[in-house]
Amino acid sequence: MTFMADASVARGARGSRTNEWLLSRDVLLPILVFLLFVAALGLVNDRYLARLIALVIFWAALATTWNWIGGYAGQLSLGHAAFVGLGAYLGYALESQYGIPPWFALPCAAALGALAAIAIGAPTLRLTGVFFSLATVAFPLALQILFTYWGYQEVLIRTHPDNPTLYMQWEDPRAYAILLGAVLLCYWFGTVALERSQWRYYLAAIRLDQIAAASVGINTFGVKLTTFIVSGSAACVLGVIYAQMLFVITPDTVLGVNVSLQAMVLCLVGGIGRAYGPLIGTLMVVPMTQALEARFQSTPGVAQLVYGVVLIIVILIIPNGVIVWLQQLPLLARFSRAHKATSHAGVPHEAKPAEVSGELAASTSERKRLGDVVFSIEDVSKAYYGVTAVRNVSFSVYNGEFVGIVGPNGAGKTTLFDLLTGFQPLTAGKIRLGARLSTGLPAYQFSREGVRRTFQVPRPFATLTVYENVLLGALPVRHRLSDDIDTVVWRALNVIGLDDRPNMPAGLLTPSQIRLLEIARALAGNPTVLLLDEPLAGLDHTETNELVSILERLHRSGLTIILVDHAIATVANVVHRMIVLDNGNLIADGKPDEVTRLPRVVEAYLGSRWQDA
Amino acid sequence: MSWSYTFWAQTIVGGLLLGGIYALLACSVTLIFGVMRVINFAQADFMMLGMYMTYVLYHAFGIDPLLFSLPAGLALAVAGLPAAGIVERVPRGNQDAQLILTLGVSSVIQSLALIFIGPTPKAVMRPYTIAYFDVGGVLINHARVFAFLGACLLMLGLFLFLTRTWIGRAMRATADDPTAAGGVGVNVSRIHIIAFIMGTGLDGFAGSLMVTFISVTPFIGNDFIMIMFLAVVIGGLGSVPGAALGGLIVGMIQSFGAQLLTLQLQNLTLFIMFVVLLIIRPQGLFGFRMRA
Repeated sequence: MTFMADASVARGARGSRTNEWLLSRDVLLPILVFLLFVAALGLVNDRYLARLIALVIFWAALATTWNWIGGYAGQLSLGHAAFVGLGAYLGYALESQYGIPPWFALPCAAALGALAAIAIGAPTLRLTGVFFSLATVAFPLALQILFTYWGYQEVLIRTHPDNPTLYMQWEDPRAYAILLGAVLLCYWFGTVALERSQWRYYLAAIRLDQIAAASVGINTFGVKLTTFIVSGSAACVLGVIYAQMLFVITPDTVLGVNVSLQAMVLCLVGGIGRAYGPLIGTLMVVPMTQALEARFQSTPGVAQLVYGVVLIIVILIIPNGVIVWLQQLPLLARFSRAHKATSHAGVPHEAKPAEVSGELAASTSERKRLGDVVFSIEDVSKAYYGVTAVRNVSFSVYNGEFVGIVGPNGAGKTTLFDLLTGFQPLTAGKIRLGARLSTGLPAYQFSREGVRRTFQVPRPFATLTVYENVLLGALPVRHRLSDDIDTVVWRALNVIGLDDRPNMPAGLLTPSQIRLLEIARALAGNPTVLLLDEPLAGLDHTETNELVSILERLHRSGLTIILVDHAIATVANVVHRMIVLDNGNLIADGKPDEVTRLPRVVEAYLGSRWQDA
Repeated sequence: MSWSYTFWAQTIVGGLLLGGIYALLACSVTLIFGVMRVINFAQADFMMLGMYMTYVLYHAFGIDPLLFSLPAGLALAVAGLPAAGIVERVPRGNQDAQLILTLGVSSVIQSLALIFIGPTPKAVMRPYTIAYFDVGGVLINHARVFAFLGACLLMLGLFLFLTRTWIGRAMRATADDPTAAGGVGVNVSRIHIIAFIMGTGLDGFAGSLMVTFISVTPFIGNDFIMIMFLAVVIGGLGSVPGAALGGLIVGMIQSFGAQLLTLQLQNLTLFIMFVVLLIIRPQGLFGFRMRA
């Protein structure tokens, strides 16, 4: 979601060792809190209050699971109730059909939730933005109809007074509170693990810009689907326990739109995409609505009214949630600063730039020998509904070359660029990376294979810092946060000259700095070929010179560069080989000074009447 | 019922009459989405409000729903103003936040209806509710015919408005490219609000016509919103002729479905169609123009 502040993402790339992690306060503190909570429950004698506590914890846990997909990944699912409902009915079905206690239904629910998430997510996660939200609405509604149709409008859990613990049927609501508390503790650790791993960055990248995420090598669909599976699976487990606690299951209470909505509202109120968000939101909203429901039992609808009003107020006034206010309170602000300073060893704003050489050659581990073919395309064509944008283009790029692809507007440059980087499928032809055939690979695979691109209209991860943007360039190929990834990031920043402002949000840079940032991000992925889409457009004279000198330095250090631009004169001065496109055809390929004199090229650029001039 | 000529004719006519109303509702959805890029979950609730308003005025003052349908539309356009203002306050392009807002508005309207009017279904019984034309054995309900004609007239009006008036043209320009429209002097924010309240007004008008043959509950919107979205998705989000055609198609599907399936499975079929269409052809079945 775009209205989220990402300042809190500014954390270090260096993960700590596993054994340290197990004993850190991230792990010990929540366990301590849980134990204190269990002890405190002993003092609660009021049944109503105990039940309320259990409900609050249930909603906090459910909102936490929604937060993974809806908050961190920014995929606004409106179908979370599907998982709760499936869990609820699964627990009921296993007990009533086979006498299996709900405890054994928990792992089954985890599996069922995962399967359902695949069934729902595999088609719908390909949709972007509101279309995903729209599609997910339909699933719980469809399940609601199905369960009603099959005759489960209102099912009662069979009672087992002889053995309440085996069948999760406690008289005392405090037992449910403890069980749900333990589940919430597990899910909290899930969130902590997410925040401490590379997933936090992958999900932030996907939330902010999926195309840019693919360009740095993130398998956006895979990451989204995995998150959806974990989230759905966890929600399904909760469904089993919820049904036991309610004792009566109706399609509306477990599958209704309000279940999905409530999970979302709680995250929004507290702070969407924040670890504490769902917890704060639940504490603020659920007791209030429960009290209202109890007070106005004769007039249903009051709780729903409150949810609606809260939703409107939150979106209009505090889109980032109450947590933003809480962090500004003097006491809490000090706590959160202290927390950050101690628990994250490698916070980048404390880290000094590593001593690295300005040259990049040292970083490229398996650099190919000069003169090897790194990239070749054979008879590549692309047609859109009969319009052929690129027609039978073939060429090879050799290691260490600096190639310019030029052509007038509409010549097919951008299309060819997208084909070379896997952002669009070919209509015909072949692409080879080195010796490997890579036709048909998705864009993120091209990126992981070392084909890195920038964008004509730059796509930085605007709310992430400069450091994090470049980190995202390196992470998908190295997979782990580690000390050496830090070195890679600093080296890329150093080469490009942005190492003086690692903590500035990328959106605040000047346009030319954003271009440089994109190049740094690409370099961090240790590319074999760097493709630049119109990098010089809109730059003034000084900025152009600066960029060109950086590119020349990169080239000297051994990097293969392909530059696409329509400004033939500028490109001719920079590159060592020039490929000219016109009307989708390759019309020239050679040394810049020779190519620019060819009549075909002159004609393409200036029109035939200039031929004699 | 036998599988005779009259059976088919009856089913087709039924589908057409229902589809006419759906077409009007779908037009209202596509108007708001096309111009504002907002998925408005509260639209069917404005329809519900139109139904209630008509019901109340009929029972309090004996005003015939058919006479009241236009004023009901106007009243619901006015009622849409605060919602339009709220949605327009969200930074443009933040579709997620706008969608959540409309969910909030929907929640508020539904719960207010539940609190003040109660859950029992309400209907307006007029002589034409139970009167039928007999055309060669095919029975055609008067109320549905009137509703169909009303819907067609309003759609015609909408079409003329969009193509013949300056505000209509400004609206289409805004739908195409808000930045460019702003550049040539269109007050984009005002156009957005006009489109939004026109949408809720059309919903109110449709609701007012429908209450003569469908009884209203506070949650009736939940059933209709999916039908409206499906019609719009069939026609291609943002296209007015597409939405009208989509509405007719959904009416036909429901009419035929009613002969073959129980009510619940009919709705299930609609949901499945909705998801499948969204996934395989989000641009609609007919390739009407849509802004990227």
